[in-house]
Amino acid sequence: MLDLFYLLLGGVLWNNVILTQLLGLSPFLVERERASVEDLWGMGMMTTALLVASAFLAFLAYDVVLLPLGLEFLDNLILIIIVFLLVLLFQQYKDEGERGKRWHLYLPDVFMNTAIFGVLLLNVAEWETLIEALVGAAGFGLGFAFMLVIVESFNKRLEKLPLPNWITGVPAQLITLGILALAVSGFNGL
Amino acid sequence: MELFSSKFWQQSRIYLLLIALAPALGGATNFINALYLGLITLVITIAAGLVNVALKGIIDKEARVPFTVIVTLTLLTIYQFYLTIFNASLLDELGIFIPLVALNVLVLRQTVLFEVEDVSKEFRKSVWLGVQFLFILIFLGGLREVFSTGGIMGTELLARDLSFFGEPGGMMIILGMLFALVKAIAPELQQEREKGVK
Repeated sequence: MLDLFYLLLGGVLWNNVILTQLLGLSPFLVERERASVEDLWGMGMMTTALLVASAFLAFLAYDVVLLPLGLEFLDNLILIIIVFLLVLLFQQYKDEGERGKRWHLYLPDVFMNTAIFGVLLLNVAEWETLIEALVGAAGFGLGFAFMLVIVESFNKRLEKLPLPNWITGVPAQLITLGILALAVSGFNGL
Repeated sequence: MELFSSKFWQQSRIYLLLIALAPALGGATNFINALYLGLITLVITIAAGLVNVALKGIIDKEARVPFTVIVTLTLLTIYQFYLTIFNASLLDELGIFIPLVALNVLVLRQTVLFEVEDVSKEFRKSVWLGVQFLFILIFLGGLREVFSTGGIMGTELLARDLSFFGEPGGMMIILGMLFALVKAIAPELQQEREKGVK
């Protein structure tokens, strides 16, 4: 039980995909219209849902089909097909209201960032049980959502500082992320 | 798949190049790795474009994104087999960043070839973006190697090294500084990027 808790917490803090693997950085590299914290949390939760669903299918595909047949080298193709199918499934969600509009706004962003495919590639061979796969994937997704929200909060603080014009926006955001990555590396070995 | 309408790809050059950096940054730990990653991306971009042009009438337009990604991923898997035999150390260092090239925006941009009339213009634009991407990536990788090891490819340049820059946080700080530099010396580039986002 404690192992699972550490797996979850590790995904959020010391194994965070953005801070330790530089995966899924694309939302932080371009300047876009400011989003509210609720919106970003929604986007993070969508990534988490996609990640948990794909981890479930990926674990079954890898441990039940590929490994017994000795076809581990096909994991790239099988994993991307799983991610595609789930994105297509998520696209079927129909809602006329505000929520449905936002849902379709985030989907390209969630698909385009490499966090989902990267996490699956890195971990599918490591996960030993189904529970471990689900909890681990949820941890990575929550870590991504946590970073989205925390960077937005940083930006709100940075706006109030008297910074020169050329460092505001993405540069300040990236430098803050770098310092955060250094801070988080202190959790290593916990 | 409406997810990738052609409107998305009419964004500005800088916007596309920046998003393209995202899947490659983690792999560009030093000059050689960055050079390999950039070259793989360029070759795969060209290959994806050729396949897409050749099979334009045969493949359904709806399936263009999954088709492109699966073709490129197959090529990258073959390249991984090649590396397993001839250059296993490089495979260890690049790791998952080889399959991630298939999700690079420059490769995905080739899906636009299914939609446009003037194929050669879009194709040349993609290849040119790939070349620019290669130069940006080797510049970043080289800079990171100089800061983290104090030299480049065995030549000593700095009196002391700052191993922090070898970690992911260091890469973010280098990228942030370069961004600030670009914004300071070329404000018009900044404007172009903002125009592209909207």
